[in-house]
Amino acid sequence: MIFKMESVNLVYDIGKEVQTFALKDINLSLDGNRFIGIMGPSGSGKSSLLYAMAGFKIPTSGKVCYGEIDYNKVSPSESAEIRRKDFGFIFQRHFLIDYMTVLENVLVPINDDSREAKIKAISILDKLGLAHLTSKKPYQLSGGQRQRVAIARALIGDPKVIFADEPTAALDHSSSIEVMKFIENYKKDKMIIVVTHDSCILQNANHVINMLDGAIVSIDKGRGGI
Amino acid sequence: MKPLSTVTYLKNNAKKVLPGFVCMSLGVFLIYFFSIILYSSIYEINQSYLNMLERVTSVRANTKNPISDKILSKIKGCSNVECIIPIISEIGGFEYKSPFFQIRTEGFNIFEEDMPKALKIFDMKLVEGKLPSPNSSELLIPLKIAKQNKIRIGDYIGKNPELNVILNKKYKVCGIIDGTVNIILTTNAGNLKREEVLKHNLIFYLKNNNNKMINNELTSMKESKVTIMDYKSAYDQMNEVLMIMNSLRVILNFIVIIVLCISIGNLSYILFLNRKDEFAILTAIGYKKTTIYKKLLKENIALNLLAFIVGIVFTIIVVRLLNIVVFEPKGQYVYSFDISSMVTAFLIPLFVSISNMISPLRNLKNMDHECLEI
Repeated sequence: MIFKMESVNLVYDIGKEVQTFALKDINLSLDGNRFIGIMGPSGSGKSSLLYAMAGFKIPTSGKVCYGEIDYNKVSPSESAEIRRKDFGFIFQRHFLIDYMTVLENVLVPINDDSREAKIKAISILDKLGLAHLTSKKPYQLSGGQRQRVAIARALIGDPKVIFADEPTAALDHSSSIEVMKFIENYKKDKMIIVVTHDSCILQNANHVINMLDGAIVSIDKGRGGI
Repeated sequence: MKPLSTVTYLKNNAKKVLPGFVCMSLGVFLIYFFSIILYSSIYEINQSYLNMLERVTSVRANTKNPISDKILSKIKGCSNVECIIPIISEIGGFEYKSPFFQIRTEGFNIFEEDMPKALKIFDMKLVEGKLPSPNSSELLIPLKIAKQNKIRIGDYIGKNPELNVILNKKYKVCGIIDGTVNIILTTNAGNLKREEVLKHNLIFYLKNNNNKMINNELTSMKESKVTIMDYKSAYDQMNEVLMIMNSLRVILNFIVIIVLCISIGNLSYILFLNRKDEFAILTAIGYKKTTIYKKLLKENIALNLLAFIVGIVFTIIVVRLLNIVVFEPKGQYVYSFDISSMVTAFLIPLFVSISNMISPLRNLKNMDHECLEI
C-alpha cells in the first residue's frame, strides 16, 4: 500500500461551538501506479484529503501512512524530505518564482544546473509545448503557460506520486484536456492523484473518489479497484 | 548557476536589493572615512609630538638652575645612551593644520655638529635646500608645513600669525626636510659652550630603544626642578585627547550601526515579505526550513560583503581624490588604507547581517503552507 488512511478526522475550529469536519472518518488504501481522481463540490474536503495524504495536513485523529511511514511519527524535516524526493505537486495557482526564468523554475525542486538536468527540463517543457519559452520570466507567460511550467516543475524530480489540486482551474477547456493527457502519460510509472470538480478531466481516471461534507460517499470502481 | 544559488537571486533582483546595498555601502563609507580621518589625525599628532619622543628622551631644567650632576652623570654613564644632543633653546613653533586638528610643531636650536645626528635620529631627509649655517638664523622646516603655508627656500619667517608661525625672531628658510617627525631646526649657538647648554636642556638617544631602563631610573630620582619627558609620559598626557577621539568614534559607530540595522533591517523585511510565496512553495515542494534559512543568510551575507567592499573601495577613491585636490596642496594627507579602520567598518555588515536575519527567522519558523491557500 502506498497510502493508508485509518479513521482519519480533520477538524477545524476545535473548542468552538460549531466544529467543522474537513475530513470525517476516512478509511482508504491506495496503491499501484494509477490515475486517481477526487471529485466533489466546493468544501467537500477533497483538497483536505489530498493534502492529508501528502503530509501537509496532520489529521486531528486517525492515522495516515505513506508506505511504512506514519506521518504522525516523522519530524517536519523528514516529512519535507519525503515530499522533495517522492512527491510532485501541482497547485491551483502556479506559484512560480517570479525572478527566475521558466527553465530555472522547472529546475527548482532538484536545484541542479548540470547539462543533463537542463536537457531533461527542456524535454519536459518541449512535451508541454513550452520549449521556446525557457528563458522567459513567469510574468511574460499566459496563465495556461504558467500552469504548464508548474506541471513541468512537478515532474522534474521523477516523483513516485503526483498530487494535483485543480491543475486545470486556470486553463480553458482545450488546454485542460491537453494538459490532462500529458499528465495521464505518467500513470504507468507513477501514482497520480487529481482533485477536481470537473468530471471531464477525469475521463481516463482509473478510479474516482466522490466526496461530500468531508466524507467519502462513493468510489467509482468501474475502472479498477481501490 | 543553480536556481537557488545566491548569485541567481542577486543577479535577478539587482533593482530590489539596490536600496539596501546603497545604504550599506554609504554606512561603510561613513565609518571607514571617519576612522581613517581619525587615524590620520592621530598619526599627525604622533608625528608632531609622540614620534619624536619615541626616539629620544627629553631632559630639561624647569628653572634657571642647571640639571643636577646626579642626573647628568647618570645619562652620561649609561652604556645604552648612544648620543646626547644639547638643546640651546626652543625657538617657538608652527601650528600645523591637519584636516581636523591643529597641532603645534616645535622648533629647536641645536649645535651645528648635532644637526646631521638629529636628522638621522629622527629619520628626516633634506629634500630641498641645505643645512643651516651656524649663527646665521637659518631654519630647516618640514615639507608639510612648507606646503601648507606655501613657504619656499629663501623666505623669511618670524612672527607671522597668518601663517600660524610664532618664532622668537626672524629666520631665513634654508632647507626643507621630510620624514616621520615634524620638527623645525636651527643652529644659533653664539658663544655658548656645549657643556654649559647640556646642563639646562638636552635630548638623548638610546642604542637599544626597547630597553628604556634609564628613563625609569631618571624618573625615579624625582627631581622636581627637572622635567623628564619620554614616550610613555607623553603618551599618558595625550591619552586624554586620544580617549575623547576614540569615544567619539565608538559613539559614531554605534549610532551608524543602530540606524543601519533598523533601516536595512526594514528593507530586508519588506523584501522577505514579498518573497513569502517563494519560501512557501519551496517549503511545500520539500525544502527544509533550515535550507531556506541558509539560503537567506547566504544572500544577506553576500550582499552585505559586496556592499562592504564597494564602500571601502569608494572611500579609498574619494580619499585619494581629496588628497590630490584638497589636502596635499595644503600640506595635509589623509591615509586611505588602514586595516584597523577596515575592521571597524566591517562591524556594520556583521551586525546588520545578524540583525537582518532575526525577523525572517521568526517568520520562517512560524510559516506553514497556509499562505499557499491549500
